[in-house]
Amino acid sequence: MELAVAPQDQDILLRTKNVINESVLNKYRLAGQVSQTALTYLTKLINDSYHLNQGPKLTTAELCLVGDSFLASYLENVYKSGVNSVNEKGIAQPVTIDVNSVNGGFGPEIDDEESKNFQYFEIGDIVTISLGCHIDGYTANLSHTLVIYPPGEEKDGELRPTGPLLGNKADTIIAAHIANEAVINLLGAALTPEKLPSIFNNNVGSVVTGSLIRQIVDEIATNFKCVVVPGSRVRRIRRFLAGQSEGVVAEKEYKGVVWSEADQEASLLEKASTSQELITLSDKQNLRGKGINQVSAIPTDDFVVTPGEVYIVDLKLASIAEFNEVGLVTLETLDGYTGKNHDKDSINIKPSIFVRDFAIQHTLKLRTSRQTLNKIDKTRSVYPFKLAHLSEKFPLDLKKLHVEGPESIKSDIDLVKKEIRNARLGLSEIINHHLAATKNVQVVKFLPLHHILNTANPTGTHGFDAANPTLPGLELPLPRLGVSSLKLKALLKKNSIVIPVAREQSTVVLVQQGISTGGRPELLRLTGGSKTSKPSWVHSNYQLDESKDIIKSLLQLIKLGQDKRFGINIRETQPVKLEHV
Amino acid sequence: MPSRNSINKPKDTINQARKRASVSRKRAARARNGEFAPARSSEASTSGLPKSTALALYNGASQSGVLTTKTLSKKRSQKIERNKKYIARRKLDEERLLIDAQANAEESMHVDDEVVKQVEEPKKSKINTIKDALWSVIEDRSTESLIVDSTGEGTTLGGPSFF
Repeated sequence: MELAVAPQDQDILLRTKNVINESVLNKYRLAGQVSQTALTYLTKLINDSYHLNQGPKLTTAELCLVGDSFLASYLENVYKSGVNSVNEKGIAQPVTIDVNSVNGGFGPEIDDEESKNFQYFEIGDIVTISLGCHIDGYTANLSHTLVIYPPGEEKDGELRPTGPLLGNKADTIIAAHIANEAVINLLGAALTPEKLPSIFNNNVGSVVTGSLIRQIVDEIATNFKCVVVPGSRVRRIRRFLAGQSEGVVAEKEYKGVVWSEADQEASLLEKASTSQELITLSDKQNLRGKGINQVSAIPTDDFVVTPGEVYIVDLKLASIAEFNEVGLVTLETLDGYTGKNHDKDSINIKPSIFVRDFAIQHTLKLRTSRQTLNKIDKTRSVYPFKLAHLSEKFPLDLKKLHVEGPESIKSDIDLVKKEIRNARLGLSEIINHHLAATKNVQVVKFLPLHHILNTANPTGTHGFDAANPTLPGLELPLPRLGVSSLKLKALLKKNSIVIPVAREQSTVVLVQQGISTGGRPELLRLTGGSKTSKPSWVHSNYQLDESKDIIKSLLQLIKLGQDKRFGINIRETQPVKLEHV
Repeated sequence: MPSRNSINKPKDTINQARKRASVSRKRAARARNGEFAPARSSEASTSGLPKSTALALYNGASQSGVLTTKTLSKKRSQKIERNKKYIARRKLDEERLLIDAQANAEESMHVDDEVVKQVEEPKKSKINTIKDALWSVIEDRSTESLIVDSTGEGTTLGGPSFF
């Protein structure tokens, strides 16, 4: 269903409001600052309790609630009154803390019983914190993967980790980090294309295209024996369109590189044969660029990065070095029902993050449902939310928490729990009528290829998984083999192995000439960067293969990014010192 | 499976399954003993023989074979008879045709070399070609020997600090 918007309004919403100028840039910058500060805050909480033995150990659910409270209470005081006040600001991505193989969406509610087996981290876990906020729809999201070390040892009067993390988890962290940095440098090079190493020039000339981004990320992944996990993307974002409801709402003029299972299929086929006939999709299989309403909603790699755009670089990598067989890295959705065999070790959790679908209208029957929906519509925007956000007591008073201790806000937390319970009752009707869509919790899995090749597939490509909406055009995970997402889901149940995943996400603004302070074009890195997303101490046995031309040029590009005078101009948004907040 | 004493026992399912199992056991035993007459159009077909009667009456002679209550209906036996006639006629026609063809071939002076029939391989569907290609990837991989990366020192990120 399409929402009716007048062409003039559409032009204002999609074009005029997205032109980077001083005020827009300030909003982006502040959003980035808030997100960065929230990340340092959460990192500090985790570090204090796990590494430095200071302060109480918080559970994952508590960390999420505290993190959300931090974002919300910080945003309460910005763009509040006067000419500059904005109508909408808030959490753009509720805090999720994904451990090891969890791909995303793990942000349990404070009263969640199912998550109680996964409250604390273990030594050697890799933990991905994702969060984001927006001011007036200008969004800054981030993700960063940390390592949980054994308690530190005293050295030079400071507690330090005893050694780097090794093994496949380390490989994934390194690959994700390098890939993220490489793409950001590449996006920066789009501002000054003359500095792009000559090997990256293509037939269009010296421009940064989607296929170039894909080529580089894939190359880095292969070097570290990793695979880019489906759902990773490098995409342009716009005001209120930060990819929060991909699959739920088809977004016109989608611009970005999206990785899916189909790309893994293609790269496997490339190994087997040189015939392009097998690899290229036939017209029937290839939905990209077809249809009337979908023309531009279907992601393709044929785009050129231009100055004045904002991008999210969201890369998740998983290592397959431990497997001695060929396989597919894919995602399995956890729904809290299936596979509940009293197995305490398997992750089993209901989704806790939802996103409102404004295209659907329905009059709800239950009073609690109507109340909940009212509350959602009044207080939440197009961005994902959690039930805790609807509570009267949200955001929690963090000053009180840190001054008087956790006991002081216990009554508030109890109240939040009670309100969540009421809202949950109403929410089920809302979800059942698709007024809101769930953001599923997914785990990354490795499925040996022979299981896919051996399976009988009588229904062919028919049927897609409605519970897991994908971007238009990517409904079929394996288009060449004709395997549907439902078939893949069935195969995953028994034959697959969970693998750890590392995720690095940053938001960057490509500021064109004349806007930024120095007047030079610059890449403003809203989130991530050396201050907040410094990689943990990890060591991999693999390295970038410098004998290859593409890697050589890539290293050259990264060096350009570090060269302040003649290289690519990259600036990072710094977090605010926590004492000042 | 829940026990028979459980509260929510699926009573009917259990009983029916048991009944079905015992019936099929008996049926299998009967088949093993040859108590089931094969379908009639087999070699031991009785069509053409005196028609069976609905009930074998005791006539003093010792019973040969198996007693069955299944009989051929009048209609079915008529059809079988008719079909047999057709089959015989068809066979005759074919033989005659073959002889004619042979005679024709001999009459004409063309003596062809034996034509090698080119057996065309059934064309593989695209999905099967793709599957084969992917199988080859799996096979190549399994014959691959262990690759040791000893060219360098690997990669280290970060440093000995929690911050």
